Amino acid sequence: MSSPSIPPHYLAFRIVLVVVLLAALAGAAWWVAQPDVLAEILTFLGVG
Amino acid sequence: MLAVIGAIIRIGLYLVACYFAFVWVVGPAMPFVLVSGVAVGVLLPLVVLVGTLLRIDRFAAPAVTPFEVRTRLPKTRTNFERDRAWPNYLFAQSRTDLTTALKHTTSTVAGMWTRTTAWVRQEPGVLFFWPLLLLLLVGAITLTGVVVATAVAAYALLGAVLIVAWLGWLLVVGVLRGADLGVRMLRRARATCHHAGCNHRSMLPAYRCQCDLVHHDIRAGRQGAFVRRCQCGRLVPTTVLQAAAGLVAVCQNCNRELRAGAAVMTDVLVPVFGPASAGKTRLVLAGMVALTRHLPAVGGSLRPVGPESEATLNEATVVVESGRQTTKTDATKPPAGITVRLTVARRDALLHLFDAAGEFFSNREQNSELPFLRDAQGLVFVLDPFSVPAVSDDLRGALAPRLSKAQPAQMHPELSYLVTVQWLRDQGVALTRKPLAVAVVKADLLIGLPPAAGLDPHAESGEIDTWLREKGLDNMLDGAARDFGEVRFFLVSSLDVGTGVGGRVDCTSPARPLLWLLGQSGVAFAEQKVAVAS
Repeated sequence: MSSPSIPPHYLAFRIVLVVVLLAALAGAAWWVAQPDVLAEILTFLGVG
Repeated sequence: MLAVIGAIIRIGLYLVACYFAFVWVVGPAMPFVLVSGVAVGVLLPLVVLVGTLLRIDRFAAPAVTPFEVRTRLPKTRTNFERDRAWPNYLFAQSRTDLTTALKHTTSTVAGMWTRTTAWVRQEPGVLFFWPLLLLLLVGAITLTGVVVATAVAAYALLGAVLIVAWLGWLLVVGVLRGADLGVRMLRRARATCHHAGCNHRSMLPAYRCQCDLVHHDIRAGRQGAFVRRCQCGRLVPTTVLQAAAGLVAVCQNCNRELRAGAAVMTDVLVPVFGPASAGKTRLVLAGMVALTRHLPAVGGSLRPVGPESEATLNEATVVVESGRQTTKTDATKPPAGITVRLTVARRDALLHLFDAAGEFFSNREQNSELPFLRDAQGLVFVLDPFSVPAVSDDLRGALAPRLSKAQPAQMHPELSYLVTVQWLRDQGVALTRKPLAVAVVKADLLIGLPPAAGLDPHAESGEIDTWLREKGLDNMLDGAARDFGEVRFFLVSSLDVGTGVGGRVDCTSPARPLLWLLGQSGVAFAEQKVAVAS
């Protein structure tokens, strides 16, 4: 028997989870990019 | 001495080199190593998770297919194993995806540690550069710690999303199941197996997919909220109301096909019981034909469901219209049900009539072969007045031919009644909730004879009751009044259909006990719209 094709709702759920993860990552990147946070990081690295 | 001095100088130079390594390399590089460790530690679990969810090459998780649902999902509460349909993503595949991603992440981090320690073991000389190795160690520890923290945060976030989706699913499933069951309960719908010897009844039939796979529990659940996907890929509805429109309903007990409309239409099961030769079959056949004429007269219709029922109705029409004698019912096997679909005022109902040979009602063992008796909405007891001794004893001499023409049942009606009712009581059947129609048949032969003095075709139920008591059946009638919720008596002539002008049933029509039981079974049109001509 040929392997059954995966139902479309699997893909829909997975896309939703990926979007949530990417949104969280984007949120984290946005927070890091804030001037005061970025300044602290650069100071920590000794380049600020 | 020189060798010692040389060694001291070499150690001193090494320590100086280490010092300068700390000052000029380790110190300045440490913040970059820490930040890099944090960045890689954050990205690693996220990249692996995204790779797994998007099924990128080696990250892809194995799919949970219909062939694994029996091991991957909880057992069902029914008597059947889980149907081979795809599980909803929330209940098996989501766990597999997240677990696979976690395994990839941990194996990546563990691999990093394993390779590093193996390298140090194989090349112990690298320990000479321990200040530089310290950088590597701090980076690896930072990366590991951040991977753990990020993984915890990411899995908590995805877990929250899945829980929200699960709550939504729970709401949808509850509403769908409640609506589906509620509508069908209001309609008093059941799925009755008409096949001989089975007669299983349930609220939830199985459904056969076009690929021939039988789904025993199509209700909304872990294998689909609005629809489920069969192993063949076809979509199957998750409500009986929708499934009945396009799929073949199958008996949960014997796996054979049910009548169209099973479990969605009002379902009335009426067995006819009584001794052999009492006139049960004639009553059923003539009653059906009478209904086919009566219902159009009151704005409804009747049509047989299934080829067997159609053949039976055709034969019944011929037999009744030609006045031919009814063939003796096969006593070697239990009967199959005759199903007709009744429609009045846009309301549909399935009426299943079961007519077993009288021999089945002669003893308890044979009664047990008639499972349809247990779950009937109401029963028809066919009482042959010519088998009552007080009647037959009066038909001697010149009246003897009338008695022999009636071909009376050999068994006393009380005995036949007691055998069946006692068996039903022993089965735990709540008879007090059921109606009993007592059809005193062969009225065409009885009326006008001396034993029937005072009895006329228009006799009401109470008058027939009184007459039967006068003929010595008071014990049986008292018992029936105690046993059943309601008992109604009908004087019936099954010789013809007993329909008058316009097709409406007359006072001795064989359809009258059936119409009364339909009314008692929630088929309201039977009582409201049927104006019995008298």
